[in-house]
Amino acid sequence: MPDSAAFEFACDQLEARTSLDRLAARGTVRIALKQAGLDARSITPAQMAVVVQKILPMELGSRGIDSVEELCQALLAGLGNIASGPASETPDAVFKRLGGA
Amino acid sequence: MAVELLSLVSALVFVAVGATVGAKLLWLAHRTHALPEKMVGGSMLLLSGVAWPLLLLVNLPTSLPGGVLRAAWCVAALAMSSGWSGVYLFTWHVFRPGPGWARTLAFGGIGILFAAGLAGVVRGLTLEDLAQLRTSSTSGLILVLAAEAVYVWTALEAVRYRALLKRRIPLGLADPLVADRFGLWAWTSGFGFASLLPAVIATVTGGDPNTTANRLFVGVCGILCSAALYFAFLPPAAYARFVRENAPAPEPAGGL
Repeated sequence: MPDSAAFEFACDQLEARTSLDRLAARGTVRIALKQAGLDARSITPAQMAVVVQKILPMELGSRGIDSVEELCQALLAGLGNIASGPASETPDAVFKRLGGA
Repeated sequence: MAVELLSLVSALVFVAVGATVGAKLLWLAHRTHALPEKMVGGSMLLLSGVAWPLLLLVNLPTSLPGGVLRAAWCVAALAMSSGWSGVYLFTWHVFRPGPGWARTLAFGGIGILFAAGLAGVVRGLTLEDLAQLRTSSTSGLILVLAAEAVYVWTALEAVRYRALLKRRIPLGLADPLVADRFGLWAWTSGFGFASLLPAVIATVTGGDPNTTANRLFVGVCGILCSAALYFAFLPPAAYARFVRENAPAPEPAGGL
């Protein structure tokens, strides 16, 4: 199963706008996703936006990246243009429905 | 006397809660037409509402007509194999959909369950001494081992997913009540697994599954299993409020 459009976008932008190479950019985003309990294959643009706001700044800062705030704002703006894609039913969506929550 | 009472209460609670959850989920499936609720609702109803009461009937100390015992046994065997098959399907479909090891595990487990269930039916129809229905058998052991395997699988998947959701809660990306539900599903499976252990151990060692200690253990597991199932799928409003109010508050944005 390929990685999601939101993940690919974030990685491409990091590679293009920072000194991180492809492997480092993807690794940084994957680490951020892992901290958030999210998966690169199923993450939505809305979820990625939260990761960009709340986790990625610290990861980028620890890697010595400059202008982190500007970079993350650019990522957020771009994520707004990413289509969510066909929604596959996640386990939490199922369990939410089963319990009537 | 206390242990017998506990066993009876545990069995009745399990039947009541399981059948109610099953009916509720099948009613939900009627509205949504979605597979997960059909699978798990059907499983609950078959295991708690059909198989368990029939097994209680078969194991009653009073002597029932032979035809009634045979019919009860055969229907219970098929209900158990179908019910646990539903749990295999649910776990595969919800947690690991698509082709791969999980599909192989699910269909392998279902194959074993149906073979063991059919063997149980043949046994029920051909046994001359019906008292033997109350004793363990090879087909019964295989049936229960397949059930134990799915309980382990579904519990592990639920624990794993709950851990993921726990990380999402402070980010505002998960509902604490839904995360809690995964934990309760894991407990349901865990206590389900535990409740079958005395029967498995007794069959393998040639021991007596109906010792006082075993009946006490199974009784307690049954009540805890039912409680977990109840809070998972029939949560009272007060419980839902308690879980949500005691969850970590969403964190502010870090650095932006």
